[in-house]
Amino acid sequence: MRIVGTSSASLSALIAVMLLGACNRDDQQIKVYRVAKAPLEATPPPDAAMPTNASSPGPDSGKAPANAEKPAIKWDIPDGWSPSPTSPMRYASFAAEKNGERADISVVTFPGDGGSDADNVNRWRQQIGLPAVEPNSLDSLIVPLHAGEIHFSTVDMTGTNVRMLAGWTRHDGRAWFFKLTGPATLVDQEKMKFVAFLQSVRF
Amino acid sequence: MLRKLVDLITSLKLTIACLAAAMVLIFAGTIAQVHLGIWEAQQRYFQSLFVWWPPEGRGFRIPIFPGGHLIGAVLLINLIAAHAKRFHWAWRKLGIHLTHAGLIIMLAGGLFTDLFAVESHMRLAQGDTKNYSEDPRRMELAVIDTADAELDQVTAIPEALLRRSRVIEHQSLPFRIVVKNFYQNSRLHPLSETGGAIKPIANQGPGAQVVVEPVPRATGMNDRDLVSAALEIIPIQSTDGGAQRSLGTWLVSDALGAPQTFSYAGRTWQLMLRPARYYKPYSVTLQKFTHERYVGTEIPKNFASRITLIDPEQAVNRAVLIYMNHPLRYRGETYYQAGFEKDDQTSILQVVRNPSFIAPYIACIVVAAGLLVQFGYHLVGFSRRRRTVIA
Repeated sequence: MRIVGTSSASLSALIAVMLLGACNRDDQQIKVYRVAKAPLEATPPPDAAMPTNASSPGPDSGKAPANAEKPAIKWDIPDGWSPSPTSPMRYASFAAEKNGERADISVVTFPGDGGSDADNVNRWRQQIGLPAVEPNSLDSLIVPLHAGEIHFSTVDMTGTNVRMLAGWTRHDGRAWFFKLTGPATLVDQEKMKFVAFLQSVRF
Repeated sequence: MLRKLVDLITSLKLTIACLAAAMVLIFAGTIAQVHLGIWEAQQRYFQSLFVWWPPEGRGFRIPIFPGGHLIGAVLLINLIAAHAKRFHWAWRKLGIHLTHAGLIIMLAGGLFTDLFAVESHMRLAQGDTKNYSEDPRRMELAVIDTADAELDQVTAIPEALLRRSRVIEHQSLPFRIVVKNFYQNSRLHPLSETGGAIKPIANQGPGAQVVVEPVPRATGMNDRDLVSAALEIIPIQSTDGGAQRSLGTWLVSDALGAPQTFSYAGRTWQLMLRPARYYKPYSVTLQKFTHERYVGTEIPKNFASRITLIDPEQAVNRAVLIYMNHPLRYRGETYYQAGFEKDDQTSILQVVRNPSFIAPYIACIVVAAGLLVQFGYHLVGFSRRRRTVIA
């Protein structure tokens, strides 16, 4: 068997041109992307029961464990809220729009306790341009909200141009954060819907 | 014509010419490291199609020698084409075919690694959480629109564009950025030190109190350039329909740290020159960094970072120990323990994304198998002949 080569060699030349073309790297292009203002929503401590890798994990270690399907939660979406694109950090996103203004509703969840309330509240305050508060004065900001057997902690904060309502709860080893953020007038109009949304949450 | 081209790309002379050119290039590139430093010499001599003269900044440049990418690609094509043209299947040639295939995989793997591998660092103080790594050798100008309450829109302009371009416009920005000065390496001095003899190049932000001194490029293994630039911001459309008025000139530099802010079109914008960032859909938290030494000495025994990996997309939250020769491999990236700083309070992880990392391993196995088959074939033949002679 003899494979002779004019066509093979021509193919090789084509590969050469493709390789040289690939030399034009994309690290000289302007990139546009959106990132969270704060580094992250939460940095829970590692679960003590979790194994530590004595040797490095294999390439497949990034795959979800057997019980890694989306955690079960249900809610009723209020009228006027529409689903909006989620990001890798979000479980769900909604938008409320009225008179050309837009408010954003986010649902974020993390395994563990989701960090301390003081850290979370102060990070949100920073996001809307408010100064941090001392952990011991946090109690005056947090208002409890009971929805059946679920107990939420909530805060209502108004920054320079934006208002934020946040509610969070911890259930079955996970922390759940719900936030409504937008122009103050619109958030005021959506506040009752947000409370109803929290009260509709079922695990 | 095609025949001549095929003869050329399959000729042994081309192989010899490429190998000779590679030897000259390696010699010249090694000498050039004295003046350029290892990083710049690699870029100009080995990670390029041509070596150019003059290197930059003269308004013209001509290629004076083939660069590493060109020599490697031609050598690869030459090897494949010559093999394809002269291929003649026979069991006794299996070893040679395997050895050549291994060499092709190694050359192709090397080229692809050079083209597509990305190396960056993740620098974490104890308790820090990050979802991005940084390239300490490449800077970017981040122009950040902070209007959204939760998400920032970042327009990242690479250092190479700042170096080359006089004016930068992009659809995501309602203003143009005029690069008034660009310093590949610089030192910043407080204005008070100069006694008022030199005027600052910026009139906004902390740069208005700073004088920039251009200095030669850093060439040491562990040195790096302090890139600085003076940028004037000019709106694309003036609000009153009149002439476009400059918003001012800012000095941006890695040495200035925190982002600088300005307001335009009812929004607050941030400007920051920072190491180029690679964002990830997961986060890494440094829980504890340990630096063990041999008892009674300062000789390092072990560095280790205990991190928490959180990936909401994959429902992953686990503790991982990264230490010497025990990297973390996750989502196509490998995290190595690379160093530390600040009295053992900060760990530096090297983050490598190399899609063709497996190529050298496969190449070595195939070449070894080829050599084994080839020598084994000859050994068996030799021993058979010897037995026949003895008999």
